[in-house]
Amino acid sequence: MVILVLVKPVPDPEKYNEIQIDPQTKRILRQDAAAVLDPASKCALEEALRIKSEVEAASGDARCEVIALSMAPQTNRDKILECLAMGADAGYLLSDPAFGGADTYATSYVLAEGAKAILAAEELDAFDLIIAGNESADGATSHVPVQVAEWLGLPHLARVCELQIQREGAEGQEGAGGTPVIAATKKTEEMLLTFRCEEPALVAVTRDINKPRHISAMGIVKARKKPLTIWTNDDLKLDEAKIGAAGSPTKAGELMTPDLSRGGRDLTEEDGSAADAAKAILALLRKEGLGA
Amino acid sequence: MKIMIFDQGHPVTEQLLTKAIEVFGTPESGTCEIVLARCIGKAHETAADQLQKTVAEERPDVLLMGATALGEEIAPAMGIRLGTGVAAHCVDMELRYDGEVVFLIPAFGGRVIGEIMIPDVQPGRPAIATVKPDIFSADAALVSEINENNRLRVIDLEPAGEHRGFQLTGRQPRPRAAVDIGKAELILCGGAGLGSPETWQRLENLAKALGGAAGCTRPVVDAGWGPDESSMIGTSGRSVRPKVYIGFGISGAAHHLCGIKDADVIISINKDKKADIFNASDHKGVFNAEDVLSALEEEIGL
Ligand SMILES: Cc1cc2nc3c(=O)[nH]c(=O)nc-3n(C[C@H](O)[C@H](O)[C@H](O)COP(=O)(O)OP(=O)(O)OC[C@H]3O[C@@H](n4cnc5c(N)ncnc54)[C@H](O)[C@@H]3O)c2cc1C
Repeated sequence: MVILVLVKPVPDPEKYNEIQIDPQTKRILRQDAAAVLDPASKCALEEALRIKSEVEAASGDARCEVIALSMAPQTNRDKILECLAMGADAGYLLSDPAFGGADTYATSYVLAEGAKAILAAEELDAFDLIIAGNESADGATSHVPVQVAEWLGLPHLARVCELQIQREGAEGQEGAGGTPVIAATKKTEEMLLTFRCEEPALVAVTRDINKPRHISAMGIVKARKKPLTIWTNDDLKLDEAKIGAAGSPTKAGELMTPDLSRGGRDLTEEDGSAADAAKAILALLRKEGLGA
Repeated sequence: MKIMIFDQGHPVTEQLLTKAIEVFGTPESGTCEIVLARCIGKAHETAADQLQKTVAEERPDVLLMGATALGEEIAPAMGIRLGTGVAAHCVDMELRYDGEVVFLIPAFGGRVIGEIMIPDVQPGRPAIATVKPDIFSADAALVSEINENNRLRVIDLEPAGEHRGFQLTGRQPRPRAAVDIGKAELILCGGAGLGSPETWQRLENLAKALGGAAGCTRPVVDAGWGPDESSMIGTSGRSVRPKVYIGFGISGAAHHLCGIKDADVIISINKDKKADIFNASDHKGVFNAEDVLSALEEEIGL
């Protein structure tokens, strides 16, 4: 079994309050926030690693390979190493200035083409499963996983909060052999919907699906020996009109940071007590016609 | 200009309709036509196929839908199938004089708002945009008048038959919070600074006693103190517009602030006088959250 995991480096989400926009250029001012692996990407990888260990535990000779794939500048090579240290077997980073400035349409195209190129390089027919984080901390569009699946012609399911791989043998009993069946639960506004899929598919997982493991020292040592491949567009040979800013149907205009400041007056006098604060709060509620 | 709204039987449809009329004009204004593509109670697994067919027939210039669990699965798929751009989670939209539609979308948890244009649209290759529930408010009187007088054309999507891929095998309603924060006039919101599930419970009881609802930040959900995402406010949670919001032990991350910015009055309690939430508040108190909760309980005799 082979699982492809889509991962994304993002600027550290703890630092978003510090982002400033240059009033002249309307672009983000020096974004020096360190990149981290997106929290939802880690959940996607954790889910793949859990399935890997279950598959491999079920039968001594069953193998489950987990491959991490990302499109990002080369400076993010260490984020792929992090995936390998967590337990992925191989990593691929698609890096080329020509991929830059892409919206979700062009990004998902490059990732889908990257996925095909991995199949060719690893001599595989198909991935049994592709897992991605449902939404990244930075753009949070939740589009890329679905769009990668659409480019690849695969079924997709987003907002998945529970995932199981069931293996059904010829007689329908569960076991190590047979075709993997994807059983997934999607959380909607009001419902938990359960689905089954008997063919390769993509699922986008939400962050409540698991708690990603910590990286062990052993993981870091092992990661250095695992294959990490960086491909540029010289390798993928994609039409420049379909990638990067040129391949993006959306165009970005001006950026702004909304002004949320409201003045923040003190509820109490300088050395007021918590009881004074409570009284002030109740008075404000009464003014709005609220409260007991 | 033809605007198509994907109607999935969710209140967001009325919010989208109200906004579409504000931006593009009433159905009879001559400047635009608004149509609803309705898919209620039909096989949602095939909704994308159904909508794709309807778009090909109706050839809209703009396709709007709620960023619900269903909409977020369909909108990006439509983008690839129709070869067009999708603006995610619009917080506003505008029709410029030259006929170009500009969508405003959030990034970095709402810290940044950016303009998105989809220049190369044509009938049948529409600009697509999703909008989260409760970002726009519905004009109930306008919507019911439009419905009563059949002023909108409604296209019922035909359920497609067989399909491959994910097959629905079960459905189970999610538990609901006692009071829906989406409709509450008063929200007491708890953050990581509450420190324990017991304190969260006290906040919930106090909210109830005051006739309000209890909301929370992500760490409270993640820590398993009780509430689930339906009570979480912010980027990946809900947008709320109560008369009064009171935050206890909340730092004020962009991810949370973008969900509370439409509250009439924001009050916050945090023990750190430098907390970011204070600047985004009308009233602030530098206190231990538990102390203020205790004092409120005492004041109202809880
Ligand atoms: C993709 C993504 C989406 C996200 N979506 C959301 C979202 O929708 N909603 C959301 O809320 N968050 C969201 N987050 C998380 C967000 O970035 C913040 O981490 C979160 O809002 C912080 O919650 P908090 O303020 O409760 O906790 P913290 O940031 O830990 O702040 C706790 C605060 O409590 C104060 N405090 C501590 N003890 C006390 C005490 N005894 N009395 C008074 N004050 C005290 C501290 O001074 C501190 O300011 C998201 C993050 C990502 C990456």
